[in-house]
Amino acid sequence: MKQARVKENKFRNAKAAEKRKLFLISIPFLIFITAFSYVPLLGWVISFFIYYPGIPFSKMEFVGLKNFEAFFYNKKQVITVVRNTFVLSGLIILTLPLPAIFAILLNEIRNLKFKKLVQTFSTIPYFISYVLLYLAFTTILSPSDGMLNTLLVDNLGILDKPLNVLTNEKIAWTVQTATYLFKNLGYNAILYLSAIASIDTQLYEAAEVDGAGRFDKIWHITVPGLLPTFVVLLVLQIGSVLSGAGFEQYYVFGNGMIMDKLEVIDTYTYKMGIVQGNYSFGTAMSMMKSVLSVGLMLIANTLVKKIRGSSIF
Amino acid sequence: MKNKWLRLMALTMSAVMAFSVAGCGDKAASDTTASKDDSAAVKAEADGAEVAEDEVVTLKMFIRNSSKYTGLQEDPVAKYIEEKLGIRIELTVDSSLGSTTAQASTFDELLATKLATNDMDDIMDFGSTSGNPECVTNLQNAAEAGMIMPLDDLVAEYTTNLSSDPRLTVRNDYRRENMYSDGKFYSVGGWGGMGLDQLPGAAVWIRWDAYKEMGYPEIKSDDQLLEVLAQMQEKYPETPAGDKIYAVGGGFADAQGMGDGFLNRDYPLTKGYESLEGNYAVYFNHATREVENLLSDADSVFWNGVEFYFKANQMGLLDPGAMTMSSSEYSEKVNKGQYLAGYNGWTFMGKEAVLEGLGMADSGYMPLDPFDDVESMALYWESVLGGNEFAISSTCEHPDKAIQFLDWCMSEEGSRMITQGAEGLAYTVDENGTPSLTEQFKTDNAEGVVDMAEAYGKWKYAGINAFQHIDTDANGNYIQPEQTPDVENYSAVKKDALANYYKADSFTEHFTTLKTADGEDLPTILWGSYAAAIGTKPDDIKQKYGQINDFMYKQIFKMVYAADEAEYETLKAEAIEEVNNLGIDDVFNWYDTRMKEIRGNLDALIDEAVKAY
Repeated sequence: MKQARVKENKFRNAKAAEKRKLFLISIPFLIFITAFSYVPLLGWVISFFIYYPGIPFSKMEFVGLKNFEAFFYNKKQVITVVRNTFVLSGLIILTLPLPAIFAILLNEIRNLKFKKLVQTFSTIPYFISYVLLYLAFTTILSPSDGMLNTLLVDNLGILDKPLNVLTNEKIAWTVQTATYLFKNLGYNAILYLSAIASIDTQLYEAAEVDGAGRFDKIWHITVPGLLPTFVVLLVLQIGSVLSGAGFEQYYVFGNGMIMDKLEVIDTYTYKMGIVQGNYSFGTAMSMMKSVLSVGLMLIANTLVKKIRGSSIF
Repeated sequence: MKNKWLRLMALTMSAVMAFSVAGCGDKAASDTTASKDDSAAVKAEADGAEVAEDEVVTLKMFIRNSSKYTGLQEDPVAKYIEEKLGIRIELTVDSSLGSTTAQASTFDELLATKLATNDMDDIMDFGSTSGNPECVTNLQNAAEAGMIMPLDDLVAEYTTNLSSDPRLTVRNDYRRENMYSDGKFYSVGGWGGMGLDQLPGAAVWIRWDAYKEMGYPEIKSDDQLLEVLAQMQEKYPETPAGDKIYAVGGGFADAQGMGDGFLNRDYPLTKGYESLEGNYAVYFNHATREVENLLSDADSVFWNGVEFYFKANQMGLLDPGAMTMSSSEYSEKVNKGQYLAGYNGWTFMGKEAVLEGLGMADSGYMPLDPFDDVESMALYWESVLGGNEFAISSTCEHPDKAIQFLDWCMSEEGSRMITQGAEGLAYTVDENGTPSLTEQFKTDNAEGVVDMAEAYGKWKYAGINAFQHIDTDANGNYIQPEQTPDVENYSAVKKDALANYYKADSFTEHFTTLKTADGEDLPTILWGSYAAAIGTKPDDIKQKYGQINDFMYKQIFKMVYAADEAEYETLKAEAIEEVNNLGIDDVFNWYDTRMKEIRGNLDALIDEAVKAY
């Protein structure tokens, strides 16, 4: 009896020591996250003041919610900005299944070399900066001397006038969504490929025994196996719905002809906040966006939980 | 064994993370320590402790430049400064944040970030007061926050030029009395003077060889220009290399302030109007020294400019790629001879050698005489109070050296070397004090192969010098010897234009004696000091002009690329209505009132300072 108690105590002590060790190891990470993710949030306070770089906090003028109100100064512009943000984000959300489909198709390729080649080529654009991507696009699509227009207008004579892909307001949203896909499709597919790899192969074997074909296996095993990953990405994407494809893409690809379609909250905040030196305004916008994003993510998470019974949080 | 490796890895990662966090510790704390050490050093010096006078110090500089790299600089001018002043230049930014309009904008944004994070280098370039509307505000706030140091005592103790040259003391006095509120001055004004351009940059520059071949048809309006350009484009469809030639182009893809600069900056400037602080809402008329609201006037030169590009596009004269091109891509096409004309002469001037290298011998660009609607021409660049602002940060460990460096930059010698290159290498000075370029420099400069900034130090730090390259020194020689007219070696197009079009002995003689359409003397001064004195704007005014600029940036391109005349007129009416809704009158009235105040304060000072040149 005594021996059993001693053994139990030893086990408890060993477990406690292990927990302590894990806790100690996690401390730097906690500090890291606190220092770089939470401490900077203290800077949000300047949203309520008129902030000038270097001026002591005590000398700043408190203006309450004035900086938040400033966002709505030009209502017409705000409506455009919010519309663009939601449309561009919505289009990205609509294309969320594409990386999963791409991953499934990739997984079905039997020729290993070809599979790797496709995967490599589709992943590379993710690592190219938007600036380089824009240069590549203009080299191909420029109306004056782009490869495509030179071919279609000068060489083949198919068109009378060159195509204006990058400056056409009517197709701006489509072009930007296609650009986003070109850059991210392959990379996002990696997540699904790893999810596919984790599906128990016995399920496929059993399905084969039951006479399931390739499409049946995809539909009844692979797709359900990918759903948890899809849901996680969907919730995260809804959380970043106020960012769309991110600041860089719209900033780099934007020009006067299409800015009415590409001006999103991030670019607008940058212009009115950073470029004009209205740091308080920029911070207020950023704060408002962060709070709304967290709210949207929580709502999406709750909805998913209700529908599927599982979620991120 | 596996566990051991895992533990080791976990511990290593934790340690790395801990160091990362520790590495981001409070910079101010370490600076304070350094500052205490410095105080000790200064005290030791005062106590008579030995401090080697010839000790070379390194000064970190956040200044616009043409260097290809950051860090310690090794060009001949930097070497000269190191030997003469015991100062090594360490740049914290390179030419990617240089002096073009696009780069200047990026520079201003980086400056804002540095100020916001109190990440100050020893010498800080606060940019141009006319180019960056926030410049004066930034300086005033930095001074109030104690981020930059007052220069009064340093100038009195350590300088010779800044403390005694009347052309510079007036700049210091202006800053002390008008820019800062505590009776001290915190910045020195570089890039000033009353320089005279031999050829006007703000004018219509045209492919002269082609124009000559057409017999110099008279061009006095935009419509006549378009007609001539249409004929030229038909006659010269492509370059010898097979590249398409267009009458006009643009780098419209750049961000607001740059991409639209072709329309709201370059075109109006050729007519004598300057967009104040880059704003669409208010223009400075250099002929009258007053501000005007051009957008509300449907017949103003601003709208004429938009209409010019619209018509050019309708006639197939505008490069269809302009909307997707940046300013640098536009310049590249100019260098390939792909355009026939442009409103920004600085992009077109001196291309004779480049074009010749591309098989276009005796080709080049020259400015046309002003059209009938031109109210003034920018020949004299007035900036007697200094256009660029330089300050010494409070954390600078060697303020004495920093001010000595600035003092050298503010000298005629410094201005000459900074704009031309190192003496002895780029130029020599004879016993009469007359500088002349070396043969090697001329050869390298003409061939365009040698990196002149690195090999000679030419223009590498331009902007920090006191006087403009087109100013003259006490002996009447150009600050930049390269500006001295070399009549004998003029290119074919220059000789032809002078003899057969301008019909004058010199460019200066021709352009300074022009008349307006009414027969009056054409004003030739571009006033820089007034715009530079505007200073801080109220938040609501900034909000309003920010919205107007943003709206106009999109609207003008829609107008340029409008399908037809009817759509163009609709968009124009819509623009005028919208800018009125956005409060253009409020913005204009604020600037108008401010400009009247400035003129009341500065007219006499500027007129007096002009006489010193």
